[in-house]
Amino acid sequence: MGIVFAVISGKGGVGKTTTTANLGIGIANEGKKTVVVDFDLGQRNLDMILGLENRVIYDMVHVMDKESQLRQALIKSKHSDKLYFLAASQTKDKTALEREKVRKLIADFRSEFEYVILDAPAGIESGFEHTIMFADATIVVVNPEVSSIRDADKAIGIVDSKCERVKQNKHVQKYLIINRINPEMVTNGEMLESNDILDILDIDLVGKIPEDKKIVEASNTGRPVILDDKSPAGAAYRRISRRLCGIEEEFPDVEKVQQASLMDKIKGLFQ
Amino acid sequence: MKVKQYSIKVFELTIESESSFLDFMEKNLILLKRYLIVLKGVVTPPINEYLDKNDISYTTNLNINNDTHQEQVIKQSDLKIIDTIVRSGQELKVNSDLLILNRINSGAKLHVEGNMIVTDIVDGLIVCNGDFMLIKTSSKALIIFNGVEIEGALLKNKFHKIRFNGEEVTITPIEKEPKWA
Repeated sequence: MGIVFAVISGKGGVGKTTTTANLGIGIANEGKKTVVVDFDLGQRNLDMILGLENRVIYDMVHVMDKESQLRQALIKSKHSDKLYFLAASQTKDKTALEREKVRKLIADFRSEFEYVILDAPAGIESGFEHTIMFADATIVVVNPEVSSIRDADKAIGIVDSKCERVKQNKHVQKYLIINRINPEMVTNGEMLESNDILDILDIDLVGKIPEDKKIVEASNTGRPVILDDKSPAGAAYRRISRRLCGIEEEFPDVEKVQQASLMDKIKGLFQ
Repeated sequence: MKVKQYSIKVFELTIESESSFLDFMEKNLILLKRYLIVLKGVVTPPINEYLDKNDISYTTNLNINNDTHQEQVIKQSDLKIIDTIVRSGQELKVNSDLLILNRINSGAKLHVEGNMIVTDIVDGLIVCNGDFMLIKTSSKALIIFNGVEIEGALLKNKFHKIRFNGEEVTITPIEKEPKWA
């Protein structure tokens, strides 16, 4: 039986889809059979970020309406043998989701895969509710700014009231990822500190990701940043993936400005 | 046999002359309509007619003992306890006293008819009509205590006792941070 994660944020544009793609690859690279699912019906994005643009023949709505087998609709990732992807429909919108069909789909994922990662749409409408309804755990992505925190707070409140697990009196684990941390701005006190964010949201921190210009390029080329050995954001995603696989990882301080070491400075002199 | 207890607010008005009373009522009708009026002095037929016409509840024989006010604070013992975070978008209405053992986040709204104690920081909006509050707020918060707006910035990051003695609101800071556990 696999575990189902819903990646949520409340606010749009904080990095849900990027996080889903990177964690999918990261977890698959730990040897777990993983599927990432785009629940953002009508606004498909995850296929591009995974580099699977124009490969989508059948999507989620086809599978739910039994126009296609799940196996036919799943697309194998270029980046990992263990990673599969199910696309959102481009033509249907969020009203195409029906509770019982979603329940069946997620049950099928559970029996086939070890890790199921659902990319929720922004906002807190029905599409969001269907994404979290049958999830075992949620990954909450926030940026260190007040509007993102408030929307995430609201989204967590909805998870705590609408999830199927909550109705069965079970706990829904919530993991926090603080994305797009700008170390310089934190040092200057212009950005919210992660301790304040943790105080407000009161959920478990699973990782902090520094702002990284390479993310934009990675999305454009369909090669997620986790595959880039030099990217600090990629390294952060690798650590989070390992933590989600139950491997202990250190929490390096990504909020401090990395000072060039003495050796680097000396090397610089000779260049 | 059915017994119900209500906590009500009353206005006590002393009638000195018929005309000045009617004049006063006419000016303050909107406010007074919502409350029970206790009348002292002579209720003349025109006053009676005026009150009936405007649908105002009133009584002439109600003994209010002002000395029991402090006792009442303790007597209101019906207590609701919340031990979870009150998150953005949540709106709670509580008719009894309330004890919150967690934070109240920005965007949350609480309406409390009784007394209230919050052991963690308040970022949201609280409307409280009790006699007593013990809270600590951030500068974002807003407290409306018996109709008086108290800006969060005023109480910033320190616990305060807020009391209402029936006439005025007093705010006293607590110098020593309370230890709750």
